[in-house]
Amino acid sequence: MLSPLFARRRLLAAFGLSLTCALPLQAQSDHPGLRIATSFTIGSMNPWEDGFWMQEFGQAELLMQFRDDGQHHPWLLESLTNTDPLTWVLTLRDGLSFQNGKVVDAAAVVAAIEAAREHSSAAQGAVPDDATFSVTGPLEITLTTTAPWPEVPGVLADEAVFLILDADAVASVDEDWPALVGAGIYTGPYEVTALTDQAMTATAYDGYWQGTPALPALTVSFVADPNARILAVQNDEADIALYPPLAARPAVDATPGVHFNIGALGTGGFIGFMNVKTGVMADVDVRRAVLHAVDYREIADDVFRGGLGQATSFYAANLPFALENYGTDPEAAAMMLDAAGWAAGPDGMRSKDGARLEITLAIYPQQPDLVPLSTAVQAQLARAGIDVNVVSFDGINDALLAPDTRWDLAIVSSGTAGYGKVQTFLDAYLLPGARRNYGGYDNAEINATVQALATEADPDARLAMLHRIQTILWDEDPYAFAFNIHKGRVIVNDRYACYQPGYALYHVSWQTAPCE
Amino acid sequence: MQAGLSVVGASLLVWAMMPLAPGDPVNMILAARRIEEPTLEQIAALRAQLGTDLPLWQQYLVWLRGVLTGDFGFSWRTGQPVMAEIAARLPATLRLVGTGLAISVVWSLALALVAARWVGRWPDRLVLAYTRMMAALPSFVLALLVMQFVVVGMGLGRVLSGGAGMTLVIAAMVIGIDRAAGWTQLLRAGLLAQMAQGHADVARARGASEGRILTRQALPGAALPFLTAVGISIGGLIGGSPVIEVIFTWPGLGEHVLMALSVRDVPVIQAFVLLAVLAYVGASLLIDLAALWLDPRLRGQGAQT
Repeated sequence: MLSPLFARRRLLAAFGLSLTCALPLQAQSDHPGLRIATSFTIGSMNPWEDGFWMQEFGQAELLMQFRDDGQHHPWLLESLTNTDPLTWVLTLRDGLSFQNGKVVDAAAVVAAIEAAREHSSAAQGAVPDDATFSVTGPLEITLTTTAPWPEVPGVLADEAVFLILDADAVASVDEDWPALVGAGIYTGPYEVTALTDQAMTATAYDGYWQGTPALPALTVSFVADPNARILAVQNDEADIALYPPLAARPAVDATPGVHFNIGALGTGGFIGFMNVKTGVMADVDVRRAVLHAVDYREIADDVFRGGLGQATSFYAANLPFALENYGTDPEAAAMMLDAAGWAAGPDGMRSKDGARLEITLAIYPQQPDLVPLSTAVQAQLARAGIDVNVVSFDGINDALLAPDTRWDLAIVSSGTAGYGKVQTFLDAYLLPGARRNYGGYDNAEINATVQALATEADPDARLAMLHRIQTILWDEDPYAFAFNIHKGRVIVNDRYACYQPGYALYHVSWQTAPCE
Repeated sequence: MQAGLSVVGASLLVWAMMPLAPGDPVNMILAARRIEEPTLEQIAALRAQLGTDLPLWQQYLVWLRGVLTGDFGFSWRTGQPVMAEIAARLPATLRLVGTGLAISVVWSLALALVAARWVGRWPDRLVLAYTRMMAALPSFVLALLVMQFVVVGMGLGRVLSGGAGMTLVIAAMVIGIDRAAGWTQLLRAGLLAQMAQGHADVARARGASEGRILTRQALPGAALPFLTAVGISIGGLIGGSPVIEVIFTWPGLGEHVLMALSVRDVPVIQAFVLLAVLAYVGASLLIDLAALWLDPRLRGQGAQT
């Protein structure tokens, strides 16, 4: 819950921060345009399917923003206040305008929200059907629900849900999406001026509400080949290459003029899921032993050379509700396996009643980083006497859910707290019968806590619930756990050597500029 | 007849990728359309549209009917019609492959003529050494080397090609030089065989120069197997171009196809494979016609068989 006073303090703090360390050092006309090479193609100007890209590259904005301090900050909002459990008051900043010059007021924002609820499947999935957004003042919107909805700040900060756009202008093109190029439907510092299947270009919006954008323009090139993206930076055809493979880091570090920058901890990672329905993982002691046998520091620092963050809990350490309860303890793992009757043989591998302690580790080919990760996990669990067979499945979700697939432990890249929202993951992965409850997990306390969390508005109570969930998942009834925490990474040239990977996929702000 | 059987056999093999692929295509397409929690009605409607609840033989016929009308269904990755996505990218691929093919034919012709004209001497030995080396070098390695040392190192062309300019020439040269190695050896051998024929001796006895005999007497005779090899390679050229396109960021089918391969986007892979097969079959037919035109004796053989 954000009180107006608290929101104002955050705004002042953000303003002060921007003055002290983040203002562009030169006017926009002094800088050349920014050139970004990314692996994904922006398919169209359809705001309901491809609009989320626009938040990432400075064209569109949201009502709230999730930052690397783990908090939600007002963005286009002046404040967001939970006046009672069923009511949120959204107060817009004064002086906002779309790039086409139209004023952004409460009516325009409600129109954007309702259009998204009508056309965007992401918005439909994220917002309760009975939620109502009403204009209650020129700059005030009141959101009412029939049940408490504590994740409103996260939903308003999610790039896939409510982009603030000129709904009338979008409706007027009647799904002729190319007509939205140059239509100025968003509020961000850079307006789309061209979109092809090779690149998007955008130019500075001089009427931008926070000030003059630091750059005159930017170009986002769509380059699938990671090597080509790196060479583009090296050949001074791009300033920033997004999504470089970690394997390229040594070569980049040895190349003058290019830099491999690692960002802050993200909100997801490679998540391990245990098959509790059948096999050795049905034994809770084996599951607890696995958690203690994994060396989280080695994975982050040695295997991935710092390119991934060390998991210190189920959630990233910068999130306010994260415990710090993870730890590697081979001796404890050995004691747990001993207690469960898995005795170590002369070769160090364990067995019980003549059966070796073997687990099948499921990975998938679409994530190349899973190859070194699974190899490391194989070696780490072998030190605890657990034999690991690695199996790669196409279509990992379907494979893990298929009743005839044999697996004990699976690694899936997933966000556990995207945009600071925890409920989506907990609902989909931990509850019995949920669409991604791969391992058949069914813990009565987890079930009750997750369901209560969905409507618990009190911050202290929510914190206690999230701590309890993490404790159960580590100490009492393990099922899902983080092997690591993902970090953003980019390759940049000398001009952008100080550029840090965007948090929550926010790559370009109005202040993004060369370092000099 | 043979061409028709090839197409039917290939279509069966290509279609079989669909039922053999892991995962439910309905779920994949809905996920690609960002419908993570589809309703039963949405699932049923798409299943009926795709025909995935029909018996296999009916699925094949439905698929074949779609293919014959240019409808390859929807991409499992993007959720968009496969044919529209391919049609948007195909011209750039054809431009690159066509340029590469032209370079390859001209380059191999030139090298083979030089080698045959000075057979056993240093130009011949140089050409042979060069073609052996290039034949052993995978095209993607050549492409990476060219990108690193020619484009980035020497500043010729651009990494981000934009679909034109010097990058077209450089990428097409990589394709052409790679293919020319084998064709040069084949044409050189054909030229030498023709130069040893009686009609070449007759020409020599009449005072014709070696160069004239080579181009007027030997080349037409050696052209048939050379053209056959070129025709056979066209399917491979299209099939092999994606890797080169991606390395040179060429805006053709390359990235689209490799992405489809990496995420097992079966409809796109099917369409691309069939495209390569059709190119191969079409090129073979053209080569057969060219052979009949070049060598009238074949027309009689065709009539007898």
